[in-house]
Amino acid sequence: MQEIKVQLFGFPRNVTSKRDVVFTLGDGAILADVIANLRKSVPALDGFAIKPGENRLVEGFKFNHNGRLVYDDFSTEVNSGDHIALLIQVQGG
Amino acid sequence: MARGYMGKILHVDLTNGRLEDEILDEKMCYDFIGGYGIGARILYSRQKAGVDPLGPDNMLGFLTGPLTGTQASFAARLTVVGKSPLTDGWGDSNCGGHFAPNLKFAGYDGVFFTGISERPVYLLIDNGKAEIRDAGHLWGKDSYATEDILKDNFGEKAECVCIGPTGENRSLLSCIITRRGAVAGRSGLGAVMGSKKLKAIAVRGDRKVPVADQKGVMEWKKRHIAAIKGPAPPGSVVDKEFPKYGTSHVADPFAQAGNAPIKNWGGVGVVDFPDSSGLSGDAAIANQEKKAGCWHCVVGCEGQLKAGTGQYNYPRGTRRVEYETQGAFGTMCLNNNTESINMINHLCNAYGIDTISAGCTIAFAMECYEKGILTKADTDGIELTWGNHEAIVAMTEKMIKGEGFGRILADGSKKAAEKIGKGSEKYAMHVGGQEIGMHDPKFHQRPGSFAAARYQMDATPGRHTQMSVGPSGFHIHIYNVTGWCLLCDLVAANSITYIQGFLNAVTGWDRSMDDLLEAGERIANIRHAFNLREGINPLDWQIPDRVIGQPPPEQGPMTGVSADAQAQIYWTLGAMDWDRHTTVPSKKKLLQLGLVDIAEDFWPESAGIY
Repeated sequence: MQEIKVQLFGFPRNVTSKRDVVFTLGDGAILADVIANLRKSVPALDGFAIKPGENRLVEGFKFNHNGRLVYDDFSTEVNSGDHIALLIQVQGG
Repeated sequence: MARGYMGKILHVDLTNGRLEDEILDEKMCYDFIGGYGIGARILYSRQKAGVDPLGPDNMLGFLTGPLTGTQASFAARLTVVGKSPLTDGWGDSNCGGHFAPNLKFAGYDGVFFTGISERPVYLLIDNGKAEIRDAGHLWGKDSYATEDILKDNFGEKAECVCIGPTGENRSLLSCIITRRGAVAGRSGLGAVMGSKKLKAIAVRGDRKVPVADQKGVMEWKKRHIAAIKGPAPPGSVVDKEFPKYGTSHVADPFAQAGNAPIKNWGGVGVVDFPDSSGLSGDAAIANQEKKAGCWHCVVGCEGQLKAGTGQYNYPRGTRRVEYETQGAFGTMCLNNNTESINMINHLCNAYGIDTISAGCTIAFAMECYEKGILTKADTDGIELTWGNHEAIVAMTEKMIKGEGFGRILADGSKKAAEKIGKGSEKYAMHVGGQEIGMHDPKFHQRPGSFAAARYQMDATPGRHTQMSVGPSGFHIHIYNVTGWCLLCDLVAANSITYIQGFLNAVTGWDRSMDDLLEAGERIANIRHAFNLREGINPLDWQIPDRVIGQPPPEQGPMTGVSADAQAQIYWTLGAMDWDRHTTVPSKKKLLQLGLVDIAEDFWPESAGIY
């Protein structure tokens, strides 16, 4: 088992009033598992940043996973100590 | 002649006072459509390379598009073109308001100025009759007063664009303004107008823009409005809050999420600027009196404020801020004071200076102050510390008036660094002389976005509004040259489809999407060719390292992220069929696009054989 921390920034932080979410995942967990646990831990993200019924992000949202921006391939393995940030979609400006 | 055009442009030689009509060439309209498409075609053909941007030979053009002044949903943009004194290359900028449709109602699709007047003048176009008039009574007046006087003279239905005192002083950051805050701000074209002693253009008229299929236009409008009222498609940038806030509600979340540049591009929002609530949409509209909009816009995203009553006494009618201004004077300077930014917005609009470049230049000066390169002795006693909103307002006033240290900053961060020296150039966040827009390219890395490359490879460097470069940006050129507003993407998806529908209905053309995108590619090439002929190779421009994350941030949402500008540029050059070292378009590409004269210029061995 490993502890995973996901930081929230921008709208996700405003919507949830949380700076980060911490949960435990099994070895070999992937980003899709992170999404599933985010849904459980922060229901407000379901439908807002997480696609209902799928372990995927809504189009436009993305993760920063260790310096790589991840939009739609959530098969990458995650490990304790990874930098994972949920980022907003771009609107306006 | 295709419908949608008034069929003529006006040429004004300010040196000798000569005015001359030119009948628009139909093929030029088809190939370059309008706006900076036609502007680039005319400047490339008729202006020699190497002219002084502030000298008599620089042509300054004000152009509309074929959709302008019709019932198309978002077609009120005015485009200004000329050689930029800020970059010494291609310059264009555009603004909304009511001027562009009324220029057409007065009888012209565009007007070009050459020469320099001996005394301050303005141009009046009164229902087809053009006349140069003395502007001695307007010179020195701010943009609000100038517009008020011209409207008093010619009636409420008259519209004008003008420069403020900053443009008269030829600050390289000065802009061209209408309606107290619709601003053609980038490229320093206000300085070109000032150099010509041209204070304003006033237009009025009641001519109708010819439309081929008015019923078709209204059908497209009905469809478009239905799309605007419908749900936001997933993955689009459609923003249901846009009609309420304009772009002012994204600065706060962008500051925290990593999209907005922080502390002269050297900071991290959650670390250096954790409270950006003063830049929220609700803060921006807190003192708003009413909404407003451009001519016949179906959304109306502008706001006008009540008079400031606290520390900052900006006047009633001051424009509500937009995101770029909040970024430049807010996140870049760590300034969370809403009212100070309202005041600055008023000052910049009244005096006529680009808020993006002005705010970024003050952020540059603040970093120099922090590093000890500048002291209070240099800054006229102003403590340029991060977040010091009183200092930011005071320095803005000095910039717009060209006083003291403000004169050093009034030409932008590149020129200021040249004057300040002491290693300050590494804190000047510009590309090719122009300060960078308020969108962090590290944040936009999706394949096809080219967010870093656009800052370097577009013909007007540092701009964010082209959205992209290369083939993924061709459609943006079509937005711009038809007279359409780029912000349409924030209210409905697939704007280019509606533009195609409107354009065919207005003009009577039957243009496919491929054909339109090829026109976009043609326009991208001629803007680029203008720069090449000026001796500019964009590969010589540099995006500052901190902007692209070299090294990457160690904290915050963008931890570890770099933007691979070199890869984006490499791909763009290949996709455009531009040489990967010289960036010269291939002969084959130029000929394919019908740019025969440009092919002959850059491939002289083929001259005369096509």
